[in-house]
Parts: sequence; structure tokens; C-alpha cells
Amino acid sequence: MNAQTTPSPAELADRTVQLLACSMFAVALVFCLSVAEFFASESTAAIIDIAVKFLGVVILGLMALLYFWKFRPMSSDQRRRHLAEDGFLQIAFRNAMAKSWMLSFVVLVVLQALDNLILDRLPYMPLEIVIQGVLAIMLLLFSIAFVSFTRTSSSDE
Amino acid sequence: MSDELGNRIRVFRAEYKLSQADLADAIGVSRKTISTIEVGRFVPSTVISLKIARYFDVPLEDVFFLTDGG
Repeated sequence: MNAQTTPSPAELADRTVQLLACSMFAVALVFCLSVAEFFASESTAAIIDIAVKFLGVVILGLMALLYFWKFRPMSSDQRRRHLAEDGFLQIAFRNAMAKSWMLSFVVLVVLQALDNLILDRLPYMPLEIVIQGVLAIMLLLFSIAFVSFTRTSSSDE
Repeated sequence: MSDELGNRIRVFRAEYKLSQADLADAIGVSRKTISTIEVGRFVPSTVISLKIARYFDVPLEDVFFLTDGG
């Protein structure tokens, strides 16, 4: 790779944000599958379990690749500047985090308020499954918010 | 999206014969950031705004302006 095709630090920071957002969506899928596995039949649960493990390995692999390939070689000053970028995607990421947190809070408060109508009618679930479900909701809301903030509509050259 | 902030970045780029990528590289941001600023989807930080104005060697008010007429 020659110098002209090496991405600038800002482009690299953008790619990091995009990779992080994709990974968070993948983690949301893992949590959704884990919850689905609890309710599925034995044969289906076995297939879901394999899918969960595969996705988990892929996500960990991507994160490890990002860390060892890009982050670890950086100096602490470069790392701090990389994470403090205030470009469009970085601000969109932070806004999506804030919005998804607020929406998750509202969803949980509404569920708690409607416990007679909704929560009491749900089958018994171990605490682990409940936590995974909540995390899945939060991460899916983040993914939707991030895509909403960053969908392409600007002109290009 | 900001309805209150306009900019003349595209005009300055044309004067200097710069692409969005060229300007982005010059001031240390991504091309996506420049393109979203130009179309009003993204309000840049003070630092990015000042970097753009400094690059074109013009006052900040020549690059960015309020559109409410106030």
C-alpha cells in the first residue's frame, strides 16, 4: 500500500466509528438470538446456539483486529486524538448513544408501568435472559438511531 | 440538520479548485465531515469551523453565516 492510499487519521477515525457501530449491532443480534434460544425448541435452540457462538467469534475477531492492527501501534497522544475526533460520524455516534439511552429508559419505564398488562403475562425468564433482552433493546435502538443520523443524502463529487 | 447555519465552503473550494477530499485532508477531518457540513446536515465544531476559515485565509463570517436574517 503506497502513501497515497493510506487513509488519513480522520478517515481512520470514521472507519473505527463505523466498525464499532456495526459491532454493536452484531452484539444486539447475539443477545436477540440468546433470548430466542431460551424460548425455542431443543433442535432450534441447538442451531441458534451455534449461530450465537459463530457471531461471538466474528465480533471478537473484528475487535481484536481493530485493536492490534490500528489502536495498539498508536502513541497515547494519537489514541487520545483519535477518540476525541469531532467529525460528523463521531458526533452522530454520541448522539445515537444519547438517544438510544433515552429511548431505552422510556421503554423500560413504560414496561414497568404496564407490568400488569405486559410483564405479568410473560413466561418466567431467568435474570440472565431478562438482562440480555434489555441489552438487545438498547443496542438495537442505538443501531437504528445511528443509521437514522448517518443515512446518506448529501451530494458527492 | 441546521436550518440556521449557511456556508460558502463550496464557493471557496471552487475558487481554490479543491475537492471535498482535498479540503478534508488539508484541515484534518474526513471527507464525510466536509460533505455533511456543506449541505447543512452537520454543524461543525468551533475548532473545525476556524480551521476551514484559516485554510481559506478569510474571516469566519465569510465562510459561515446565519440564515435567519437577524
